[in-house]
Amino acid sequence: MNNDGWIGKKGFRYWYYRYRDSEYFTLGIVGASIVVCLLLIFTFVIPEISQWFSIQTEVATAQQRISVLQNNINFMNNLNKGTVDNQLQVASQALPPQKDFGLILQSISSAALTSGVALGDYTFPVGNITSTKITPVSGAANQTPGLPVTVIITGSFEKVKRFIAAIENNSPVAQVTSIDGSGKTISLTIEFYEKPFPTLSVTGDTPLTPLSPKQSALLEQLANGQKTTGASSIPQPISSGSAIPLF
Amino acid sequence: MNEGINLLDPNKRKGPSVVLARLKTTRTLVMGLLFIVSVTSVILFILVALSPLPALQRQEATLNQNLTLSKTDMVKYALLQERTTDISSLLTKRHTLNQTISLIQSKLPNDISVTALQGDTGVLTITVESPSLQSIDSFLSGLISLVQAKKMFKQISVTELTVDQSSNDYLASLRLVLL
Repeated sequence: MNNDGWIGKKGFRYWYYRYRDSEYFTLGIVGASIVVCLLLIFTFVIPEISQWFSIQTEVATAQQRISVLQNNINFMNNLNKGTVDNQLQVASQALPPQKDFGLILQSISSAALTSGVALGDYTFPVGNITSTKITPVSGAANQTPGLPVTVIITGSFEKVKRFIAAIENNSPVAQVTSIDGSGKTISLTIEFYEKPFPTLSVTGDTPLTPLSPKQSALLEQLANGQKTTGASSIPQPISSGSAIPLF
Repeated sequence: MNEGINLLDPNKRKGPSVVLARLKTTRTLVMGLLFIVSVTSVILFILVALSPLPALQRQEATLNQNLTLSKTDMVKYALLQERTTDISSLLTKRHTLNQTISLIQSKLPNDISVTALQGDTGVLTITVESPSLQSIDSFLSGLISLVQAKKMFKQISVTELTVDQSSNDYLASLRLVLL
């Protein structure tokens, strides 16, 4: 008689009971489990681990940005807006964003007054008047072109020295680039610096740092210099298009 | 007669028992592995789902919005920093003639006067007048000491030494090359 005495349809139950205790069944389970494991690992576990690490990195970055933002908000809340406005005005007069003939004349007159020299003729190239509409540039590429002014002064050596010192300490920032003279008449070429405002991209997550003591001291020094010259009372001209009466 | 209706394989458990035991162990191990992988998957899913990132992003957006109110002041402040940095850099780099003249003046004896001054940021020509040659020599020595100390001047040369017959004064022209 046939050993496989099964009555009815040979369905799942038949095959289960048929091979349940055989090595094929166990091997099948093992194989299927390994396949499921591999599928889970490659389709779920590895991508999830990768996502988790990327989320952790993003969380750390976001926390850092939030910390910077909070610090910036605190900084801006504690910042005296009036002081910043004044300091920016002082700095802008020391290094004007455009040709500022009024400030230059004021600086020369003030230096002459404090040093006691007599001012003779002075000339400076006005240049292209339309160029006063400056296209803002960014970075250090634009390096403060100077406006050369030639001044003839009369005075003793000591007074001339005082005049040079006053010019170099006054606002706007200037440099005496050449000197030529004998006796008591000296011709000086002074370069007054200017630099257009750059295009700044200020983002909230850029940490704001307070002015360094050196910068604060510089601003104070410039402000004092401007008080001496009276430059701060001069309204800033928008354009240098007008003809400048030379003495 | 029972054999005819036996549902079980009559050949079962006929393999070597060692092989079967090993297979059973392997099956247990693999099932354990499957369990571990499944649990890991669930844990990872929960970790990713419960990440604080969305909350942090919302907080960041709110803070950014708050900071937008101070945007103008931030720009002003950034401009102030940019200006002060530029001015500071200019002041450091520029050559001040005032310092040069002060240094020369510090070496001038009392009976020497400067009659002419000419030059630019690289070379300075100075003409001095004195009734005493010794004073001019002392002045020169002072300037030479500055060159030796590598202070302000790189080179000094006497370009002219004349005597003014009418006043009996000595005139010396010096060429100073600045550092």
